Amino acid sequence: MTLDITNLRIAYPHGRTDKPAVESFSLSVGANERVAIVGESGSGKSTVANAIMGLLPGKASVTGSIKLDGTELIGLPTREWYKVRGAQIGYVPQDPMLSLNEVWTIGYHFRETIATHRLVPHEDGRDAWRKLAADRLREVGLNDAERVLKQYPHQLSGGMRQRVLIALALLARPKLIIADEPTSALDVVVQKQILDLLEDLTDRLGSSLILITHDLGLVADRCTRVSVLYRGDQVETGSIDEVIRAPKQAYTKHLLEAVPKLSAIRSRAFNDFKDAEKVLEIRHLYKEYPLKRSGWFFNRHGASILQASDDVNLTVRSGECRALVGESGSGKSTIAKIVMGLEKPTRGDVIIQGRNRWDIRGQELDEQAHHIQIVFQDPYASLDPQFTVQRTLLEPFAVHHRQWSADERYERILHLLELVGLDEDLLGRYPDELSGGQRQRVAIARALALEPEILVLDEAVSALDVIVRAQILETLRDLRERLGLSMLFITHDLAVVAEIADSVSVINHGRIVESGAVSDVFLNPQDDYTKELLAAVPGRAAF
Amino acid sequence: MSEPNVKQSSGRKPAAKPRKSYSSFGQAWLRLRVSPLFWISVVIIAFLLVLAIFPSLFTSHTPDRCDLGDSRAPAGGEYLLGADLQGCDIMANIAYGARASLTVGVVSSLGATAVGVIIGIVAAYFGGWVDALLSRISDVFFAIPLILGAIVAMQVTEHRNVWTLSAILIFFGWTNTARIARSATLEVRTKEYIAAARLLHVHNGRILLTHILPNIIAPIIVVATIGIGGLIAAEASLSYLSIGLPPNIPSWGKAIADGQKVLRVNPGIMLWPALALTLTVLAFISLGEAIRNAFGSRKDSR
Repeated sequence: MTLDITNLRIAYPHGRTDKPAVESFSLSVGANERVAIVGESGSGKSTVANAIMGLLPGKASVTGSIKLDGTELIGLPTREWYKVRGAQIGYVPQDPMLSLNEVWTIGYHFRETIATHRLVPHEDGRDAWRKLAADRLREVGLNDAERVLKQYPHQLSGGMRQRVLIALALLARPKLIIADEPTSALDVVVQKQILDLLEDLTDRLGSSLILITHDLGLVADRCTRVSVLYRGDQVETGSIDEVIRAPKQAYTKHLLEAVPKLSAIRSRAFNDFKDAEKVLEIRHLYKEYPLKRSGWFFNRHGASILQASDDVNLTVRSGECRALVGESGSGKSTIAKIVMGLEKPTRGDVIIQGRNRWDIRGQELDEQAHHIQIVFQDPYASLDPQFTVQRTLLEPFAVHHRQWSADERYERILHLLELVGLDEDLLGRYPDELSGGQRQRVAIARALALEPEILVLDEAVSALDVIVRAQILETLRDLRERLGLSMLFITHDLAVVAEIADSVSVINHGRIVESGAVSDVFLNPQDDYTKELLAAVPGRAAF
Repeated sequence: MSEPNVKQSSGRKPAAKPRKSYSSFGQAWLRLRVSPLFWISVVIIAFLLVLAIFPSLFTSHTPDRCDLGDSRAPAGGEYLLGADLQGCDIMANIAYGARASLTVGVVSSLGATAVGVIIGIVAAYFGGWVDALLSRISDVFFAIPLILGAIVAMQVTEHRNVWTLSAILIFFGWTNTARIARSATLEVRTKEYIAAARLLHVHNGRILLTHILPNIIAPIIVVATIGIGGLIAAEASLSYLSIGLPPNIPSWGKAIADGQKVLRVNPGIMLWPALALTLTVLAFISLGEAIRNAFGSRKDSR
């Protein structure tokens, strides 16, 4: 199998800019090769994937050539595409939660694909598809295949769904598999399993793989060649060794520098906070959620409970950045909510500046806002869409510093903007006119408005592109230095922890399994779960 | 690199040229400004307003000074659209009827919206027993048909006039808005900017007014505008059944009821007020639709 893309250009005639979505893109993929297309969001990498599969919207104008084994794919009639898509090119989508039809069983998805591509001869009988489907599910590691076939998508975890989608993509044994960010919606341990599986299967079947990703770490581990895209332009292309170890273009270098690396611990200076004063202490925290039951008039609380955190102890000392690391569902966000007072713990204490959060009443609650503030994960949901940047930043003063004059408040806003590295001319903008990184900077500025000693960051850099993420991390490091902030940094990303935190607590199923200085925990992990998390970090070998 | 306005990278990029920023309402207005549907409905509604405020511009007659001798007078001549059975000017009936219709429609829609929004937001924002109680109350009102409820209430009302009729329509008509406000608030309430405001200890009243209300108001403006049309129709229905406005207040519904008797011989007596009613209701529905489109095609924030 060979795929040859030469001089591909894709433009949208009435797009927001005149610049084409993709320009002069060339790439060839040989048999049993793994090639990566890397870029930030908006770089055009998914557009290329859609072009290869003929899934671009009709208004797109496509020129150049995409040849699959000598057959030109651009301008192929729809009827011919059915013999290509699914049969010769398999596709693994990004979000396994959205990519299966919730109203049909897994079995139905298989039967549909098997029937479409006539993978089972008619004379084998009506149930022959079931055997094939079960075999293929076992192939992707779902050994309880017969049961999975009868299940509905919502009964499967994200990782299992992605396995199902891989099995579906491989049903017709395509020679080329395109995986578009196949693991960006998954936890780090599951991500590793899925990528291992893809690698193993393509090897065994002799298929080629095009892996589309924003994560250079993934690429370094698993691909032979890579093509780097930036705003539709192919910046650099070559073998992994050339591009990752000796990048020629400034953008590639920039991208490589921005990738958070575990190895950062070796080059970083660590301060000792053992004797510093405790600013935040969580003691024996236990939280359970009663599951709601619909009542006759009111909803009642039932007997069944969901346990979110169990006997959690955690300390942040003055000036320290403590990371809380765990996968989704580990209870780390619940802890953030309890620390912020948005939820009450079932048992246990949260002590902020020496006082138990739940003993504080009335007027004094106002002071809490001056001690601790939070930056949320999603920069798109954390700013009021009806508020300009200026109004968002003025709000804290309108509540807490009513005696300040308008000039004093404006001075203060300018100072905040300077702290987070934003220009004054953004003040009149609404959130939908800002980039993700700019929004997150505004959210950080708002959190700093009342000059808190403690900043909680709940996955605050997870939703950002790699270069923006590196810039925000830089800003956070800078803020720590200038303001002496203490931080509780909640994340699933161990490489980010290595870049910014002093100490780390690893949480699994609501329990802290390991805790200590970042250098100790990362270089010499004691708990099996910590070891597993560390082994799953992409790019370990390369960086 | 990907953020032109961040200082760190401003050395590499020319500074972004200043541009005008618009709120979601500003953006909606920009789209509304070029919508033909919007302008057509605005022109019709503006004409109706002029008709209602300055009826003397269109007719020299008043609906209470009728000459039985002119009964069923033809259109043209002294009467622009002819005269009805009592010899009253049809144009005067329509012009003065517009007063009653527009007043009832606008007042009751504004009132129902205010009541519905307050109840909906309070129920959703505070939740718990407040929500349970308010939601059950609104369920009860939802189960009462608007027209039937208004008929019963008007029967027992001593002073039937524009204001009592509006009050009754508000009393039975707020539930739909309350439901929309409640579900929109439930969605907005979970957004992180609300949590951020709470953590800055912004008090509840301020959060409700500055964060929640502006973020849920767009669909409510649409429903309220369309509601004006619906309530004008409701007023006409009640007056047609002669349990709406009293006989001394001119109303399109009443004019339709009167004209119905001579529909075959003098169709104009019924058709002109019916046309006025249809056009008015249609204008408000189109206006609501135009506003909905303007908000609906809001620039996707993602």
